Amino acid sequence: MTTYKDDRDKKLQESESLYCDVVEGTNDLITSVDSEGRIVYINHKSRDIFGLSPSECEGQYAFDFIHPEDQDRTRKWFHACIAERLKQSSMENRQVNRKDGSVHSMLWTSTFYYDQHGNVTGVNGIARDITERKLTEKLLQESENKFRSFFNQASDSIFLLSITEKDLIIEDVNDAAIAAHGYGRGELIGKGITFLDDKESASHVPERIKTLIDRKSMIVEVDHRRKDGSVFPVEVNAKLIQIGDKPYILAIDRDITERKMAELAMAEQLRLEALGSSIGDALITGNSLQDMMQRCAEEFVRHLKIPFARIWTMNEHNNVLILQASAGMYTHLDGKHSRIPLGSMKIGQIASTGKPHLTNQVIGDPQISDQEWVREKGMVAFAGYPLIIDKRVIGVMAIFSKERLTENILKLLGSVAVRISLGVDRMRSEKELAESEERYKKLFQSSHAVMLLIDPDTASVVDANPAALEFYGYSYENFINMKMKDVNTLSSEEVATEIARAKQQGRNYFVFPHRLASGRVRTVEVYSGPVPVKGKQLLFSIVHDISDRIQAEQERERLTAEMEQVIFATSHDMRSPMLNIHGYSHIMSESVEKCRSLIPQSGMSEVIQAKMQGIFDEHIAEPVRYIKNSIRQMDSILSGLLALSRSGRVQLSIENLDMNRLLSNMIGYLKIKIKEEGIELHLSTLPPCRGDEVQMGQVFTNLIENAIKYLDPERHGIIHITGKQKGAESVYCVEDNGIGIPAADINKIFTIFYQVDHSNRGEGLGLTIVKKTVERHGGRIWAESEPGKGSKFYVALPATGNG
Amino acid sequence: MRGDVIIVIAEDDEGHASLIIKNLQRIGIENEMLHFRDGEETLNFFFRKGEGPHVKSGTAYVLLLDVRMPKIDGLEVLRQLKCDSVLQKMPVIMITTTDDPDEVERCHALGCNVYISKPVDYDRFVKSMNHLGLFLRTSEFPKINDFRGEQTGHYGP
Repeated sequence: MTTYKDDRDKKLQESESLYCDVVEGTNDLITSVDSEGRIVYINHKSRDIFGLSPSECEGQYAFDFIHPEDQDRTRKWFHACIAERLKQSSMENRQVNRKDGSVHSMLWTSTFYYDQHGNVTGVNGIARDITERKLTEKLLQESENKFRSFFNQASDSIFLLSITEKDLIIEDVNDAAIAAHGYGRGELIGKGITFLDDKESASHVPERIKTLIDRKSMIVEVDHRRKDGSVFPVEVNAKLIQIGDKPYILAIDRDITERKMAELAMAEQLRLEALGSSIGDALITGNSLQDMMQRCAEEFVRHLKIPFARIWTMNEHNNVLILQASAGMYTHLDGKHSRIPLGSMKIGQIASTGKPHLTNQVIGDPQISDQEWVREKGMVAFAGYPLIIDKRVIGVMAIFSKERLTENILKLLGSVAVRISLGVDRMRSEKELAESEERYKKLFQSSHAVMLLIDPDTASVVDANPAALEFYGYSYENFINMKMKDVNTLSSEEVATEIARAKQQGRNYFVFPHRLASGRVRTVEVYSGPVPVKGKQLLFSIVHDISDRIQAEQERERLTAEMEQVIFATSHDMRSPMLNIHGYSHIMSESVEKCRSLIPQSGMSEVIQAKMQGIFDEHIAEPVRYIKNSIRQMDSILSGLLALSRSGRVQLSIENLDMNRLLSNMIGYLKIKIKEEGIELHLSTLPPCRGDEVQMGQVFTNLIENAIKYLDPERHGIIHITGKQKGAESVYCVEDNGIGIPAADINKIFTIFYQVDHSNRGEGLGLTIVKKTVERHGGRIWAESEPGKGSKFYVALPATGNG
Repeated sequence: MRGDVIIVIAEDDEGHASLIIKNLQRIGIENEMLHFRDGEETLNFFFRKGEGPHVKSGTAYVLLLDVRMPKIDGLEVLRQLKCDSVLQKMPVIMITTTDDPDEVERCHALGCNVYISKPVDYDRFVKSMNHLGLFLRTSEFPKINDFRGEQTGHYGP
């Protein structure tokens, strides 16, 4: 202890005078610590650092002023220094100000003193307050870190380039640059920037260096090439910077592929919009169908920058696609693609399937047949669309392109195809409409039939043809806009009733009483149907004056009824005298027999007896026989006439008839006759019909009996009865293989008193009655026959409805 | 049929009347037969009108009535007879040349008892008359006792 103190004292004394000014005048903290670690001396800086005066510090342990976090480290350093008997060492630690708690970073330079045994006798320390510097250092470090992190984490590629005359040498690159170009850091450092540039961009490097040096900074778009050879566009933001006294270039490269694409897409969008509006123009202002389509094709070529476009339309009569428009490299409309049958080649297939065909790889596409041409012309894409209206293909449009067709282009083409379809359809229907209106006008004006055009909303006359004006007796001016209720004398309810009745009867016309200008009322048939005229549904009516016909019909009906009455009365009244003729001729013949039996008893001479017998036989008995035969014949005719006149008067009770049952029953009645004559009769399954059971039974009995009656005795008789429903009718057929009817007679067989063969087998009224009965049912009857082969009698009757 | 039943024949055709009478007599019907030529005469007889003969009280009658007759036809005769409370009991046999089912229907509706047709064919006419005769012979006919409200007579044998 004393040694140290002595030494210290001595030293102090020695140096005091020398260093006093230095020590107290310095900015550094100067202290002296004894072997115990206690402060034995400290200069005035203790106030700044520790917040205590030098005298307050003296005697305190120096370690107690060290920041707690640094004490351990300082102690280790201290022991290490001693262990190695170091005379001088430096270290940094922090000291704590007792007064305000502030921390000071101090850089110590310590001098160790040892005795001859090597034990520490004291330490002098000079410490510089480096708090400021530390702070700056820290800030610098942070800034450096920040910069590094920015440098490395930036999404843009950053290059630090040194400048040579011809190239810029890569000094440093960030992670983004490495990732963007696919090279390792080592592969890039030291290379010229032209190493990364695309050929074209590289050629501009020297002039860009000049510009940069002149202007200090520049922004330029260049293409870079990756390690894999792919090229991508970058926007380079280059700045001339000074590091030390050396100029460098800091280049920040931004990958602008997406921006470029967006720009391209935008440009495409604009192009497509322009195309869309041009097509719209063409569709509206085209003078003809072909002009319109040609303009559309030309717009395709112009806006899409494609080599060529074509449009075909479908000829629906022969299913051939006709080339209507061709623009671009080919403009002719003849050649092998001018007429393409449906289903043939690519275009024909698009039309037959109604589906578009789109490809960005025409080479190798099996559907594109002209591979040689495609290769030679460098075609890349094809798009063909069907032009469709109402699910009907009316044409095809197709384009070839040397560039890929993007989704947007295809989408637009799809919608353009729809617009062109509509345009073609509109143009066609306008043309057809114009033509049909022209035809209609001619027809309307020149027709002798009375024609009216009626507005169904106002029920008034919109147009009337000259025939109508003549019929109704109005001037055009007076007739137009006249209300139909002023023409039709029926009330609106009666009109509705008639319309309902027509519908129920399946008529396509109405019967109305129409009043003429003269006041006369005529019965007319009105055939009416809707016609679209200039976008409005009008009612086109043809009016038929049927007053005369109706009158004639009524007259005929009256005459028929009268005639029937005459026939009925005559045939009936004739029976009374006939009964007398027949009856009394019978009585006469009985009387003659009686007389003849009396002759032998008369006592007359044999000669006279013989004469009398002769007279009785020849002149009485035989005539009476003829009279009786004739009466029978007359009776048969009269019965037929009576049945005929009666058949028109019988009340019909119409119901659904099971014709299978009806015919089976009838055949049952005829069985014996059929068996006796060895006839084959086949009855097929028959559809039902509407009719009167009794009357229909008679009709078919008559037809079958007729068939039997007129069978050929030379052949085995066969009769077929068949039936089929045809629309609203059930049509039955009775077919025989009999003698048949001569062609000249076929239309007469249903007329009164006609007989196929005149050998007196019937009264000839059967078929007349049959026809009348069938017609009273609203049916039809007709016959087909071939003499020597047989006849077919058809009966068509109203079929049963669903109920 | 009793022998005193009078057969009244209303028939405009004399020939027919004669044929009917001849045939009935031929099969042995010997009853008294009266013949009237039209509906008017017939009605006058039954309703005791006019100059001609009149129906006798207490006598049984059967009427063979033709449908078609001048002046008043058989249907009208039938209708009037059937409206009378006494005469309606007298059997009426329609004899006519027609076989019109509507007419047959009308006659039955008016209350005729039998409907017999006169076929034009004489052989069938004879058969018809045989049927008529059989019917007449096997039936009993009520007496017409009075037909002015004095219903004192009895019917049947």
